[in-house]
Amino acid sequence: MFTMSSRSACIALSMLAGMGSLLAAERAMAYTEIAAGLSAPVGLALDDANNHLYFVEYNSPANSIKRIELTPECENDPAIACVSQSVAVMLGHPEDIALDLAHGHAYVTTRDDVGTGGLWRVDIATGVKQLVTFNLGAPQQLVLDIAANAAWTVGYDDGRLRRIDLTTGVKTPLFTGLDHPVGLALTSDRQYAYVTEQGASNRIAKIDLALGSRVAGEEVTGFTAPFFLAWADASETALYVAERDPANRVRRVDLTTGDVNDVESGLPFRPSALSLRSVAGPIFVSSNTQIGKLQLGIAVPTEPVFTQVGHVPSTEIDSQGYADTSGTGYFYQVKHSPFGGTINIFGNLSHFKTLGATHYEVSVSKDGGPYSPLSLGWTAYRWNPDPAVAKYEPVAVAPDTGTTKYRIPDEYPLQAARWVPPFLMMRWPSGANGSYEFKVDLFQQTGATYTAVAFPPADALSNSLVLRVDNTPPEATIVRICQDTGGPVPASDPCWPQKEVRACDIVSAGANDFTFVIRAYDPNGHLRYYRLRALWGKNASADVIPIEHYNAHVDEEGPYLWSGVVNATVPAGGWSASCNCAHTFRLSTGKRTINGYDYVLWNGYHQSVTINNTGTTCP
Amino acid sequence: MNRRVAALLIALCTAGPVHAQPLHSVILSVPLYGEEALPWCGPATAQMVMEGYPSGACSVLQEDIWTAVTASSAEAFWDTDPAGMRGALLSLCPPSGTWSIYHRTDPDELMHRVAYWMTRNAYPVALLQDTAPHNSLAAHGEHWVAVRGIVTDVDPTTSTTVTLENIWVHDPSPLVLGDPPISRFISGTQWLSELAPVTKAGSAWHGEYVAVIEPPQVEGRVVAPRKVLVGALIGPDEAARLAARYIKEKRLLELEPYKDLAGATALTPMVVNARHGGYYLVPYAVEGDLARFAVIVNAYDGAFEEAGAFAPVRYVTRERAVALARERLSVSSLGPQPEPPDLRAELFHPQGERVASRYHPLWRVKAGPVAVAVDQRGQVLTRVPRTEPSIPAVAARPSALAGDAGTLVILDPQERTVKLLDPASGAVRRALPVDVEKAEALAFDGTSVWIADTGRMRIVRTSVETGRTLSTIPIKVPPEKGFRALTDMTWDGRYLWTAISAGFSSSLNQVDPASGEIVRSIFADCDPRGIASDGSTLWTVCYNGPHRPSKIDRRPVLAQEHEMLRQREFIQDAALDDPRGLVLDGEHLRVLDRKDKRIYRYPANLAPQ
Repeated sequence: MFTMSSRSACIALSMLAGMGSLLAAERAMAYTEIAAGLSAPVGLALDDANNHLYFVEYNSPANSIKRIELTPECENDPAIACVSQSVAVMLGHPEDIALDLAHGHAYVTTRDDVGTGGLWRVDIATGVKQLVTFNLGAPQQLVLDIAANAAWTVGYDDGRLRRIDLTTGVKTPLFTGLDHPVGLALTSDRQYAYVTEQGASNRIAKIDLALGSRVAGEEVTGFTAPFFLAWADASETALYVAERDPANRVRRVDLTTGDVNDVESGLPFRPSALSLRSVAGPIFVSSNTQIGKLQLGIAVPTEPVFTQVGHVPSTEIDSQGYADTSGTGYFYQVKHSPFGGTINIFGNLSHFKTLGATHYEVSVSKDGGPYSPLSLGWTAYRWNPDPAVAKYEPVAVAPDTGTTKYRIPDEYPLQAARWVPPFLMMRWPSGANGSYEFKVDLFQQTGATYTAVAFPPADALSNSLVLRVDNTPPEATIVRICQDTGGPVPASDPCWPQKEVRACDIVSAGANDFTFVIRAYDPNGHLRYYRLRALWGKNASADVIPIEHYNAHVDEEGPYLWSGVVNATVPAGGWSASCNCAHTFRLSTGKRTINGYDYVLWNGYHQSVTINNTGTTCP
Repeated sequence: MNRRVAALLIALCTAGPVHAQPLHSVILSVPLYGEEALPWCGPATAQMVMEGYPSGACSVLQEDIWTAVTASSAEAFWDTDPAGMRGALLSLCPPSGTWSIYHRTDPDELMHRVAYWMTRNAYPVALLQDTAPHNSLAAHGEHWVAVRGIVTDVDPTTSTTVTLENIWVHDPSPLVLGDPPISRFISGTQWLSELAPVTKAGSAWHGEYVAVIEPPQVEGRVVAPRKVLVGALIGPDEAARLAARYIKEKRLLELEPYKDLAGATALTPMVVNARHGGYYLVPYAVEGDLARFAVIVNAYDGAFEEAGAFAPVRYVTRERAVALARERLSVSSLGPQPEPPDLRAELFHPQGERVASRYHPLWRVKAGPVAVAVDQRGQVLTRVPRTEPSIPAVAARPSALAGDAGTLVILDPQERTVKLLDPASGAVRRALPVDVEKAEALAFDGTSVWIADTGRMRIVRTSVETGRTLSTIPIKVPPEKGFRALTDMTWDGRYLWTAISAGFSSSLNQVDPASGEIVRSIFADCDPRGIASDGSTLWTVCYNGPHRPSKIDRRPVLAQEHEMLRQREFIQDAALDDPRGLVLDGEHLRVLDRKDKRIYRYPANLAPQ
């Protein structure tokens, strides 16, 4: 077990990876002790605007509210201690604290003062306390909603979940029969409550507040002395829970899947409360004698912004805009492919939702120029869940009227499969060749107002997609066909000293030996292949020159570049027909340009002649 | 004795001269609980009552009682209305009989029912003490208490008239939410002076005294001596001596909350409301100067009023109150202010806004025209709670007031009616349509209402009984004194008096009720807004604009006008926004404030200011 012996310990902890399903990025954690020597700190509340972390000390003689002055130095430099100051004293075993900064108040639950526990309003400036109500059955975690003028808490001793009017103190029991409840988190619509139960069940229960009943089948079990809860994301799809000894850890509960993963273990003895600075920001954790910071900037799973372009994962498109899935075993393999045609760009719409966004906007910049938001429409399919229909139906997708902002459909994040294709964020008809950089902006709509929603710093790094666009077709030309006649040839013949075989000529004399002058060329250097074949008789064919592929010419002319051949004479040793027949020679070229699903640019050229000098009759 | 069968019928014999006869008492075993939310004196009272059943008692959380109260409530503008209280008691803890709402316009009758059924059935009673706000939640206008004991001179089950000697109530509303609630052992006189009817316009119980009793059926009444409200103050030593005597006489040491009084030390008595309704608060401390008990004795005749047990309190001294007030008055947004001169402090218990219990009176500290209040927690209140009680004037636009000790009359020109009100609660007893063009003032002679109609410049006398016009006289204006408005009238038993507003020449005029002729006229020396007289004394309300309090003055009715002017004396400042109409109802004066539609009550027989 990890133990913190001194403040100098700012230790990168390796996570207990027993759950196995977390991303590698989640496993790099850093716990920094920011306050020590405390007397059982429990509840935490962060005043992010003023960089104050409020906490209560449960044990006597402290029984107090204090606040820590957070600074970047003391938060991150183990050598610098954070300064704390007293806010209020003489609270009987305070358990949790919540802030009403607009009115200068802190609300505090006290376990056994007054009666079986009270809810207090404390003037932060003066420390003056005012009792809101009492006999709360050993109240624990506190949820505050100033707009609703209400607080919610659970009573450890009486197993009740209550709503409290902050003006009158009127208590309304919303649910009874909880098994020693401690932690409490409410959905923002106040429809559901999640409660940690520390009795024999050691679980997180989900309570339907409207019905006053447990939501069957949605409890999460298997915890060790679960304590306070904190929402892990703005969309309330996951919770953090502190678990006390012997676990002494913080876990993350995915409410959509029920998956439970360790965020951090080996924490100082008896972690109790959690307070998040922001999504993906650090978690402040109170333990038996100290408060520390879990740096989640490197611990919380990062999420992509762009997920894929067609079949190409977004991270397999490099900063120059070329796709490369070669050598991965992936079903769709391309190498150094630019993009062209109409492109399906996929985005992490579910994650956008979790960040609190209702809308997104995709902007593009060409060759380093200014970004312009895209305003395009397309058709997708959406599942009609009506049992009488039960099929995917075409749906037009377009930005909100008069805007370039696209509403994230209601099906995300939980029912993405109702869309075909799912997560399609933009269908973009690429145009002129160049380097295009895309970005996504998120918005939350309230009425007619769109408020920007920021990506977490970690996610922001992935908010860029560069696509190299090349819509120029490759060139394919059989410049001429030449025959070694074995006799004199006028010097004016383009094939001199050989003789040119023109289209539709009938070759009846001379050697059965031909060469071809071809142009298989991409001026942009994105040629994928060229090939020259002969076709004759009844479905007979043969390579004049086998396929010449970029794989044999990678970066031949510079990074990503191979342009093919111009006026090349092939094959080197000449080519002979196998029998007398009319022959068609076909030159094919293709480029590496893809639309995410297919190569989209190719060309061909053919020339037909009759060869009757082989001495062999075709079958 | 089983605490669930806790009706103690004991005969108390008192040795003192006050109680020379055997007394009958019922003392029940009832726990003492405080309200857990500001509007929950009702649920807390129900909680105590249910745990005080003689058998089959129940322990129920207040929040569950609240749920039951709201489910049974009949009127929305209560927190706990009588129906809600009854419904909660019945549903959560059914008694052997039933719970009934008992409501009477006569408090004496109600208290007899309380005494009768507590004696018969030994159930505590949920009693509505009043409907005034009693804590920081101004919207909470009701005050329930649990009655756990009652002492009468004879057995109320065998006598229809008994003297209410004492009542023992558990008041769940301490000064500070969460503090221990107050156990009050109160004299019948004091209790009946506090008990007030419902004053909630629109309520089915408006004007009635209410108790929820298990169960009421018989008729009867209690009586108690009238409380002495004014007079010469007894000395503090005498108050302390009487308090010690009452502890013995009332055998308080035998009652659970007061047992620690045995070792308690009396602290310095404090006089509260010295000018009117005064009492001595004699605190008792078990340790140091932290008072846990107090005995309250009448400040004028020394009668026992009540004894209480409460959370330990260190009373704020006069010096401390002055210092706190001085500190507050020296600070303003403009920066340090000049030292407030001549701070005067007095203890008072506000009747108009019952934001403090009698055991926790406030200090009123005055610095010239400015006053602040200091409570017993040392908090300075920049708005002094109203001292004077009031009742609502239930009308769309009440504009004039008349009446006597038994009836108040208001005029509503918008509804073109006069309304006869219960003076205790403001409940409307009758409404009479009136045929007037511009009614401005009223007078009431016991059987008829005099209505001044300045539109037609006449005074119409209307029978209260029949509503018919009995006579009409012209409105006369005193020569050379002018006329702007006739602001009030009064009947002194023989003459009408009119108050005429006319600037510097405003006048008070004695009018012949038969002819309307002015018998005599004197200068008002103010802007008169109300006039009252009993024939020998004339009271007026002088309006001093919106920024200064109105003044109530008093002068004898004398033959010589200049003698009346000379003997005019101011007896009371009245913080009224728009006073109109003054009524003498015996010991009190009533003034209508047209702006907030309430009728305020002031003592009539105060010494001059």
